[in-house]
This record gives sequence, structure tokens and C-alpha cells, in this order.
Amino acid sequence: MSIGSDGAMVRPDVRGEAAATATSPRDTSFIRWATARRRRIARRRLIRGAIGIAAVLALWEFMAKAYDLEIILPTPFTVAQDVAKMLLLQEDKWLYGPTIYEHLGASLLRALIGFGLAAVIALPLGLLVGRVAGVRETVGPVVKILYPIPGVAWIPLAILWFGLSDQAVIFTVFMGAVFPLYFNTEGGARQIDPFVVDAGRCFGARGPNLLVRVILPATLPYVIVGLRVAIGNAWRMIVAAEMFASQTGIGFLLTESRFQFRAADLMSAMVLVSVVGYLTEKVIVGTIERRTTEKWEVAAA
Amino acid sequence: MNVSAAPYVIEARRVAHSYEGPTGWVHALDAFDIEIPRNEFLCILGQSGCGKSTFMRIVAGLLKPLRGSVLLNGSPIHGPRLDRGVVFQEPALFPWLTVLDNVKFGLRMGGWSNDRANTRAHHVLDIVGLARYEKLFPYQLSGGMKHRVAVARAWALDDASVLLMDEPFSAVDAIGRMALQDHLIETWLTEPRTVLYVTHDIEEAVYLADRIAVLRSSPGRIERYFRVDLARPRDRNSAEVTALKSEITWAMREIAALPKEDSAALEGEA
Repeated sequence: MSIGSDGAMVRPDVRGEAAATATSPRDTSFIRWATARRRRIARRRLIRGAIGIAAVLALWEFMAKAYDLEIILPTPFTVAQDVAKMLLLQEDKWLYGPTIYEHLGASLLRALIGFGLAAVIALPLGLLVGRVAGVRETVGPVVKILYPIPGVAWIPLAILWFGLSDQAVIFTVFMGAVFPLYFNTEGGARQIDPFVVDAGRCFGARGPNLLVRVILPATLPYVIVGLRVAIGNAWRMIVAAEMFASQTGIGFLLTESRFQFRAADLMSAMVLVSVVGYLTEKVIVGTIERRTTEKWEVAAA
Repeated sequence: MNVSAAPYVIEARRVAHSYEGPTGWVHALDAFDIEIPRNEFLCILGQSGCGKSTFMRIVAGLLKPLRGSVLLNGSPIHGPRLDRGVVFQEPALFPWLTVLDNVKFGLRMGGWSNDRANTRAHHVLDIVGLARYEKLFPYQLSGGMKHRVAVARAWALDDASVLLMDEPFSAVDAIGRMALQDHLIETWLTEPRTVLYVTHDIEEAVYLADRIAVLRSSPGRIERYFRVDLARPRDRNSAEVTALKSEITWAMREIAALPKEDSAALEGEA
């Protein structure tokens, strides 16, 4: 490590630059070697991932054909065809009311509202419980009593309170998403580097300023883990709630296709939940992550 | 903070603080007195666990002593404020802020306008030789550079009447530490400030300080003062420096041999 004002060591952002400074400027063989190595690793990962997925699909196909289960276990190809037909609105027989896009949109909206409400409540509460003894001792026990109640157990109560409505579904989603985000935020807020908090206090941050400008950014790596789990839970809960409390949405599509005894539609709905759930997580949490913790290169301990 | 009527920037009177350890109470500080005049560079020198960091945290306002009082410009200390710039044992930078924003943090919290804070931060980063790196995030810096940013962040508070440094470079390798000490002394010569610098390194104390307070431990208390009347920048290997180092070394050995008055002796009390 060199320290002089000019010779100071700076970690370059790009690996290629590190390679360029490591050897003489004319010798680029190291860069080529590193690039080739990176490509090789990426290709290998792609191939191995494909092998895993292909194996599952093959087993699925085999089980369906070998045991003659196609009525209750349609083959992967049939499901893929069914998904395509749904998305292109080319169903010969559509038994589920509004189009697939309206079902997906309804679910997505409810999931996002429930998840957003959970974030608005769980984030500040988690930070306060993690950092302020008075709040911790008052609110902590309440949360601990509510937490063991499974998310689905709230569905009957939600229906009683809100009827078969969007609100009932949103409430259930909220109850499923709020706890993981709260617990991750609270645990993270307690674990942040005490020196960083001391520095915040010594450099003039107090009360709400300390919470927003120091505790929150320092806790973000944990918050992001919480958001990721919460959004996953939101999708779990939405399907469960819509099965009971709604005439639209992916959950409704799932139960309805069972009533209609159409396994291909049922499995198509499952495929769509997987895709949409994956995408919302990628877009929402991924964007926050790229703009914060990845940019600062910090991670949960 | 303008120049106040108080004769000393920091004045500690009979400060005492104890911790409950696994084997009983440890008296980190007991009957601890000190006076630090304006613009003095004072080093508190002592072995690990002698209570020097405890005193630092008390002055910073992060810790309330069990007994006694510490006056800052004649008034008692109530919690951390921007009238003291603090450098911790680790850089403790805010990883989510760039170098520039880290240095500006205290100024902005103190209500400075963005422009004024920028000017001041640029000036300080220039002094510590980091002007080129102001847009980088802490993870992109080497260890020594992080320590310099931490110094700059505290130094930027030009209203602060004292800079508190708690073994700021103790985690840096020997060569890097010398460079950081050179930077610190250059900065101090450019902008003289009152500095309270805690260290366990005799050479560092002799190189930096106007005055060295040697602490004993259990209970933590100042046993002896040494004045260092040598022009800066000092030659680390000059005869005077070497002589003073060996004198302090002997003194510290004697002090280390003093009987402990810790937990065991006082257990009956508890």
C-alpha cells in the first residue's frame, strides 16, 4: 500500500483496469486470458443450469407419459402451449371471466399495495424498535405475540372484516409481508457498526436525522434481504387469499381451473405466478439494490 | 465557537468511571484531572485498558462519567456536539457517502449551506492530499486513505474547539502510520487546533505532541507529564527524540509496576 498524495492506491472499478495496471501497458495477454476465463465460467454456469432444468422437465414428461397421468399431469409441452394460448388470448374455451391480463393485473396491484403498506409500516417500526429502547420494550412483545399466527390464518378474519373484496386480499398480503421486513430491519438496525452510529452522533445527527441519515442507510443491506423475503411472501399470500376471497386474480384462476378439472390451465397459472413473482422481485428489490448497496459495496454481515 | 474566557479548552476535575467486568468492577478512571490550553497538541499515552478511550468518549459526549466533571470552554458537556471533531479507532466513514459528502456531513448537519460546505471540504481534502479522490466511495480507498478522510471529516469542523483522536492510526502498518502522522502534523501546522490524541505508541507521542500525559491503569489516572519542546517536523532519530523516548519508556515501566486497586480489593464494597 502506498500512501503519498499521488501514489495512493485506489481500487479500480473495473477488473480489466486492474489487469492493465498489473502488467506493462503493451502486454495485453493478461486481459485476454482474464476475459476468456470469465466467458468460460459464464458458459459453464449456463450449461449446468440448463442441465438441471432439463432433467426436471424430462422427469415430468416421463412421469406423465409412463403412468398415463396426462389428465392430472399435463406434459411440459402442453403447459407451455397453454401458457402461450392464454397470453395470446387464443383460448378455444375460456372459462375464467376476464382475460389473463386482467387476472394478472389484479393480483399484481393487490400484491404491490399490500407490500407497499407493509414497507411503510415495517421499515420505520423496525428501525425504531432496533435502536430505541423505549419503543423496543413497548412494541417488541406485541410483535412477538402476533408473529406466530400464520399468514393464512388471517384470511377468515379479513373476509369477516372486509367481505370478499380487494381490501381483504390486500390485508392478508400485508400480514404476510410485514413480519419478514420488520424482523430483518430490526435485527439489522441492532447489528450496525457502533462506530458508524457514534460518528453520526458526533457529527451532529440526532433524533430523526440520525435515524434517516445514518441508521437507515447503514441498515439497508438487511432491509434489502427483508424486502426480498417480503415480496416473496406477498405472492404466496395473494394466491392463498384470492382462492377464498376473490373473483379475479391468479389465485382465483387456480381454484377455478381445479373446479373445471383443467390441469393444464392450473399449471399455466402456476407458471405465470412464478414468472411474475420473479420479475417483481427483480425489478423492485433489484433496482433498490443496484442503486444502493451494490454501488457502495456493502453487504449484510 | 469563538474564543471564550475560559483559560482551558478542556478541564477535567476528579473524573471517575468504572465498568462491571466478568471478575468485578474495573476502575477505568479515578480522580482523573487534566487541563488542556488552546492550540496545544496533547497526547495521552498509556497501556491498553488504562482508560484513555474512556476519557475520550466522555469528552466526545458519548459517555457520562459516574463522578466528576469535564468542562469544555468552561461549560459542562452534554452529549455529542459539533464543537468537537472526533476521529475514532477505525475510520468509521459512512459507506453510502462519497469522500466529499463524508467530509461535508458534519458541516451540513451544522447548518452550513451546500456551497460553503463544499468550499470548506475541498480545502480540507486539499490539505490532507485527497482532493483527487473526492468522488470515490469509501470501499474504493486504501486503509490509509480512509484514515485520512476520517481526519479530514473532523478537521473540516472549523468551529470545533477541540479535535479528539482515539488511536486513529493504530490499525495501520508502521510505514503507513508514519506517512499519516506526517500528514497530520502538516495539517496541524497549516491550521493550528487543540488536539487531544490518545495513543499507546511512545514514538508516535514524541513525534506529535507538545505535551505527553502518561496514564497508569486500574485506576486510570495521569501519573506524569512530559513536555516536548522540539521544533516540527521532528527527526524521528535525533538524539533528543531518542533520549525522550527512553525516558518515557522507563517511566512507563515504573508506572506499569504500580499496584492495582481493582475489583478484588474492592469486592467487599460491592
